[in-house]
Amino acid sequence: MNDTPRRKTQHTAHSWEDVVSENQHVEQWQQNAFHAAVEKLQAGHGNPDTVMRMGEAFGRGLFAQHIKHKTSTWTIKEWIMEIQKEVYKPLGTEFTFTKISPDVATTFMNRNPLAQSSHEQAAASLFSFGVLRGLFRSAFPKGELVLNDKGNEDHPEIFFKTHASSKDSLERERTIRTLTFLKQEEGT
Amino acid sequence: MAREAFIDTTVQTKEGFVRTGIDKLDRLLEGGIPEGFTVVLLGSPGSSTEILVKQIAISGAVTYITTEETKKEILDTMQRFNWHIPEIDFVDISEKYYSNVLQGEQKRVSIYEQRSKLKLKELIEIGSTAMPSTATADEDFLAILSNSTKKTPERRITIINSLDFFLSQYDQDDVLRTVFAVKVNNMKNKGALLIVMTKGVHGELFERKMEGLADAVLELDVIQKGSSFERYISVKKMRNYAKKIGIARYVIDDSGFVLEMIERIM
Repeated sequence: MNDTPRRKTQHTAHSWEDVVSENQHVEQWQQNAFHAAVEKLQAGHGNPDTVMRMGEAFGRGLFAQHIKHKTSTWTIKEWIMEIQKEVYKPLGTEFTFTKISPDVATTFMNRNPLAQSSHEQAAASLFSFGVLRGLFRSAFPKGELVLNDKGNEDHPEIFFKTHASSKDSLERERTIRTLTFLKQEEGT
Repeated sequence: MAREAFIDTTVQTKEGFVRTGIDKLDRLLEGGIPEGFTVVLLGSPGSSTEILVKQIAISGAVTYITTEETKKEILDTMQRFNWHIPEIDFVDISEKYYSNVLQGEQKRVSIYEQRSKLKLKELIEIGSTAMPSTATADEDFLAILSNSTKKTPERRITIINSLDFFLSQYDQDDVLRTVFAVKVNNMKNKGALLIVMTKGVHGELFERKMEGLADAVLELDVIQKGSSFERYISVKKMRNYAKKIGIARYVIDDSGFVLEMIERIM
């Protein structure tokens, strides 16, 4: 890519120690942000929207700090490549993309260390979805993430749409309810 | 305990300063916040920043822009502490946000209800993405933030609790531009602008940018010591007032935010 030199000065690791510290840095940052989200949930009125919002804010922060060379002609494929390399690999999160077209992608989240290590399952799922949404909407402001909860409850399918319909733009609240409900059911 | 008990008569009202109304905090700040200053309040999780800003809000002439709690929730908490509540000018973005959420949810449910009553042929005719004609654009909360500070009277404290909300909805650069506009309004009005932000969520780069933009930075931290937790407030930056850099331990008790010990660093 044309702007590789600029990126190298900021985020390209030069040694094994650098890789470890960069990964630890992002992981630690996520832990802090998640801790803050849970604390806000407990200190506030138990509104799960707060957790999603903190995830979105963290996702936007990750994008601003780690993804520097976004262009207006970015496709979902380019977004996925950057996000996987700069964000999800350091976090140890794994996705399987079953479909990628220029404006729509479909994925399953296979591995989410945050949710696996947390006692707050519902909050971790909500937060992770918020992170994904924040990362996506930083690149595609008119886009939306739509959760398909009809299939596998452990690994629900997520649609990324760069141009959301007005119906899609109402999906965020349904997602909050779905994730909260699903995880509470699992916990009982 | 009545709120008057916190007012320290030893801290004189100084020309050119806005008092926070919390005696020892004003003493830590040697008279209060200099007029026209933008103060970033960086709070760690569990540091009870929301109690501190509520207590500052009862100090007198205050505009409180709330995104985390509704006006009613804030007043309920103030009453629980038994504080005397003066007239506060609320800009309730939280209420607006949740009204929009509810409206959106009703819209979504009504679409499914309408669609469930239709026959397959009718559904195909209206298309799979048909929406009620009432669908409206999202509210621009950054514009509300910017506009609400333009009209603020002089020498008033403006509290934004918190920037986290805007950072979940907008790009960091857009938020920074708006904060800068709000800061300029505050300078013109010779007020004190307090911006609350959770520490460790938005990235070091953004925190540094905010610290650079601010005239003063107060940080609230929680440190575990053995089996207990201690809370500290530190004045990390105070433009043109290096002497004010300091740290103080505080507790939250039935009366609210109480500073216990002040240590001057410079």
